[in-house]
Amino acid sequence: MKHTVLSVSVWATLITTGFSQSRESARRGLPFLRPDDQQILQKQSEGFFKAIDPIADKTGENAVNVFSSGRMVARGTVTADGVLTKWSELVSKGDNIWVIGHDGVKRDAFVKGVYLEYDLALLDYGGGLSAVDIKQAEAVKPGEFLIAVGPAKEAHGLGIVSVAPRSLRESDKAFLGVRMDFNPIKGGGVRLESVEKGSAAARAGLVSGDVVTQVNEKKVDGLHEMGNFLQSLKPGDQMVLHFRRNAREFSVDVVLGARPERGQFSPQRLKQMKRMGGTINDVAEGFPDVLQSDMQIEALDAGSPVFDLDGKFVGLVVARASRIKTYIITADKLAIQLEKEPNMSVGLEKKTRLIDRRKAGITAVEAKELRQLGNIIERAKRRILEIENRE
Amino acid sequence: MTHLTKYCINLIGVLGLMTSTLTADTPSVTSIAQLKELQSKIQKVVSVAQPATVALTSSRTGSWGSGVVVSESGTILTAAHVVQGAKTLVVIFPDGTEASADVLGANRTKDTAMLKIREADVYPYVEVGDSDPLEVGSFLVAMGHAGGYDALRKPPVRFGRLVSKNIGGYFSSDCTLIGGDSGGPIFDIDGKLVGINSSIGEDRKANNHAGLSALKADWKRLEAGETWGSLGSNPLANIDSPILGVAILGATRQGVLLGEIVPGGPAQRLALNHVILFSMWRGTKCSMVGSS
Repeated sequence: MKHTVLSVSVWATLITTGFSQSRESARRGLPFLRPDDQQILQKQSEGFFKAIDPIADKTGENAVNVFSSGRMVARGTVTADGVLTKWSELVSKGDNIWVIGHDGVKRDAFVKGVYLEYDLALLDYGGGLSAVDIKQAEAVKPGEFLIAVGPAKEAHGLGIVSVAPRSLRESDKAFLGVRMDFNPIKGGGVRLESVEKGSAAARAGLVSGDVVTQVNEKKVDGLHEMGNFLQSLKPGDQMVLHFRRNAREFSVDVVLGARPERGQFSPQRLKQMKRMGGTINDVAEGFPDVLQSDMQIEALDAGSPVFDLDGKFVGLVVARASRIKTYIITADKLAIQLEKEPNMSVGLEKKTRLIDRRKAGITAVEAKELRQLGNIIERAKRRILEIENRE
Repeated sequence: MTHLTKYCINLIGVLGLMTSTLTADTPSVTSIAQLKELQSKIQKVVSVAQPATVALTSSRTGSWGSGVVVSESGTILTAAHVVQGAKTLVVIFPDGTEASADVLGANRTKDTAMLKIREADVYPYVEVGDSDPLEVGSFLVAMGHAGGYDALRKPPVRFGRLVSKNIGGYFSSDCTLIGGDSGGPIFDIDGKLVGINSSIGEDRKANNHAGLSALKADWKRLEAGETWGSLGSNPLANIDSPILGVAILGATRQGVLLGEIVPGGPAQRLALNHVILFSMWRGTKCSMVGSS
C-alpha cells in the first residue's frame, strides 16, 4: 500500500479557463466524506425526493424508457403525436426499437420523423399512454426547481433553472468581421487590428487602423464592451458605427452578417472538465432555443420529460452537455416544432436499408462501419440544416 | 490524553476534514410547500447577486475567471489563481459593461484575492457573510461566468449543499462548477457571500470554495496590497497547515494505520511508533478518507 499525504487543492483542478494541469491530478477527487456527513447528506437528499414523489407519481405516466437492439438507449416523453426521444442516441445504437411505459408494457415502436435542430426523434409506439400537456406551458425563471421523471414514477433529476432559454447556435450571433486591438486608446475607442475580407465591416469600408469610438448611441470604451454589444445584436441588424481615421471622424451604416462556424472552440482542458463527474451526450450543443439547468443526470436520461413544482410540463431534456449543464427544450418551443413537418424522411429510408442489409447477413464490422457512417451523415445533415436556416 | 486529542485533530486537519456533529440543524425539505419556499429564496439570491457577479479577464494571459463586487465603490473578491500575478484585469458585468480593476492583494494559500475597480462609480454589490457557521447540508447558491463571459446569458446559477468543511477555511459543495467559475461567488440561502469558487475534483460533489471567514481575517492585508502564500496548498509547504508528522499506511475496520513517523515531528515527540492504529478522535471513529 502506498503512503498518502493528503491535501485539499493539490488534487483538485483549478477552474479558470486556459489553465493547464495534468489529467492525473484532475482525476483524483474530493471531498473525503465522513460516514456521518454522508448520512446527513443522504437523509437530506431523500427528503427532497420524498417531497417530489407525488409529482413523479402523477407525471411518470408521461414518461417512457426507450430501448434499441435489446438495451436502453434513452428516456422518452409521451406527446399526443408519439414519443419524443433523443435521435442521435437512437441512431447510433441500432434498431429494433421498443418503449416501456409506467404500465410495464413493452410496445414496439418506429421512427415517424426527426426534428434535427433539437436532435429529437418522434416515435410511433401504437398509443395507449397518457400525453404531456404541451399547451399549459408557462415561462420559467432562473432559480426555479425542475424535476426530470421516469416511467417508474420516480424522479431521477432535480435541479434549478441556471440560465433562461437562449440560442446556442453560433450562426444566430451577429458578426462584424474585425479583430480588435487589446491595447487601450487614449481618449477611448477600439483600434481595428484587421478587417476580414467580405465581412460586414469590409463592406462598410472599414480598414485596419480605424478607431471605433461609438456604436449607435453607445460610446465604446474597450474591446470587450464593443464585442459584448455586438453579441447582443442579430445577423441582419443595422447599426451606425462612428470611427476615427487619421484624426478625422466618420460614421457608416453597417448591416451585420452571421458568425461563420469555425469549429467548436473548446480547449482540451475545458473538454476534460466537461466530462468530469458523469456521462455527456455526443450531440449536446448548437440547439436553437433551450434553457440550461444544473440538474445532475446522465447522458442516458436525455429525452426525459421535465416538470415544475406544480407538476406542470416544462419541457424535455435534449442533452446532458457538461458537468454543469443539462439542456431542456421548453414546452412552447416543442409545440412549434411538432406543428412543423419533421425534417427527415430521407434518413429513415437509409435507416431501413441499413436494417435490411443487416438482415441480409453482413458482418459485425461492416455493421459498425455503417452505423458510424450513419452518424456522420446525421451530423452533416444537422450542419447543412443550420447553414440553410442562416440564409 | 489531552495532547493526543489535540494532535489527532491536527491530523484530520491535514486530511482536509473538520468536525461536524450529527445533531447539527441540517436544513430539511420534505414537502412541496417547503420546496417552493426554498425556490423563492433561491430566486431572491439570484436577483440580488447576479448583477454583482462579474467576469474577469486579462489581455496578458487570455484566461477567464469570475469575481464578485462587495462594495458600492467596486471592491472585488476573486480567487488568487485568477489574478495570476496580473496588475490589472478587465472587469465585465453581466450586462456587458466593461471596467478595469487594479489587483490589490492575494493569499495564494487560501486562493483568495482582492481587486478595486478604477473608475469611480456606484456598482451593484453583495453583502459579505461568514462561512464558519455553515454546516454539512447548509443550502448554497453558486454563480460564475462558466466558460468565460457570454453576452447571450447571465452567469449560470447552481444550487446545492455544503458537503464538507476542509482545511484552511475551504469547503466543498455539490454546486457543480467548471472552467471560468473560478473566483465566482457562492452564497448562503439568505444571499450573503460565504465563499469564492476555487477548484473541482472528478466527483460531482467535489466543488471547492475558499471560505469567506478565512478571507475576512485577511481583509486588511489584502486591501493593503500584500501577496503571500503558495498556490497548490501543499500542506508541507504551507505555514498555515498543521502537521502531525505521520504518513498514513491505510485503514482497517479498527481505524487508521500509521506508517512512517517524521523525525522531530509532534508524532515522534509523542512517542507514537509506526504501525499504530488511530481508532478514535473526539469520540468519532477514524476511517480512511482517501486513497492514492
